[in-house]
Amino acid sequence: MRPWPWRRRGSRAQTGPVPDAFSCAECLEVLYEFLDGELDSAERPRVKAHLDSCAECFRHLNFEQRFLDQLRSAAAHDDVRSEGLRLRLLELLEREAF
Amino acid sequence: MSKLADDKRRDFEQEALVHLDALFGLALRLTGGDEPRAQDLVQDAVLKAFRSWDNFERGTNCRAWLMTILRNTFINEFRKHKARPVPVEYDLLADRPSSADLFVADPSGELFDRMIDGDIVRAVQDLPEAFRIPIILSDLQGLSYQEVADLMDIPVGTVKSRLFRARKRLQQALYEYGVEMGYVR
Repeated sequence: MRPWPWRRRGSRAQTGPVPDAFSCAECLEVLYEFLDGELDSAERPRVKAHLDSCAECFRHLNFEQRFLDQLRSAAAHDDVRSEGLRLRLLELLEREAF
Repeated sequence: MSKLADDKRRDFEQEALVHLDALFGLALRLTGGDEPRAQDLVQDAVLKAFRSWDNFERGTNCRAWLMTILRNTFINEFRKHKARPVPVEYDLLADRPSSADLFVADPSGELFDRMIDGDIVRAVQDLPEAFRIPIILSDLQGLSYQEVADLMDIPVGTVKSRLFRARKRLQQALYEYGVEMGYVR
């Protein structure tokens, strides 16, 4: 599972001037990229700065994070038994091994 | 059967076939719950894996190796049929309403915690293929946008927009299910 980028140590490393203001619309548009760790190092601090100062976008972030957490966790228990398939494969492997 | 061939088969059965249920689970998701197609997919992938078993590096992650073979087998089939018109593509133009209703009704996303894994997995399975594949590769298999784009042979921008829409559709479907089940009002 991917780590959440906003939880990473050092992701608050915003030492220079505050980057260009980011609108809520812009922030929400790239929220998934932010959560997926797909934003580049120039864009990530801008989104992070906006999230730090905008309660509404931060609520969206938490909502989407909860959704993705559940989705990824559901997938981790995605095994499906198929005894018929197992028997078919055992036969095929036996034939293949000849 | 020679002893060598017999040993290889036994070794493969012990190391690889223990992951069969996980492979079948993934195959079912990829095929949208089409059981015969999922079984064929697993069969093809397992036979491919068996034929290259000598190249598998012992001690590395066998489950991940098998998943990759299955994923690639599915994607190769998907690419072969990509050229022909697929009705589901039209579905991309007429998107369903956004999931904004869910955020309004349940801004903290508690609904997601009330869902059991099976509800979520089934909702993924019911997505149209163009949405289902990116979400499976990205969220269920943990691939990057670039890896999904390379596998599906589509631009990264398309992966981003399909993932966005797939997740919103999924939220919408879960919301509708949640209302039906009385999880949300």
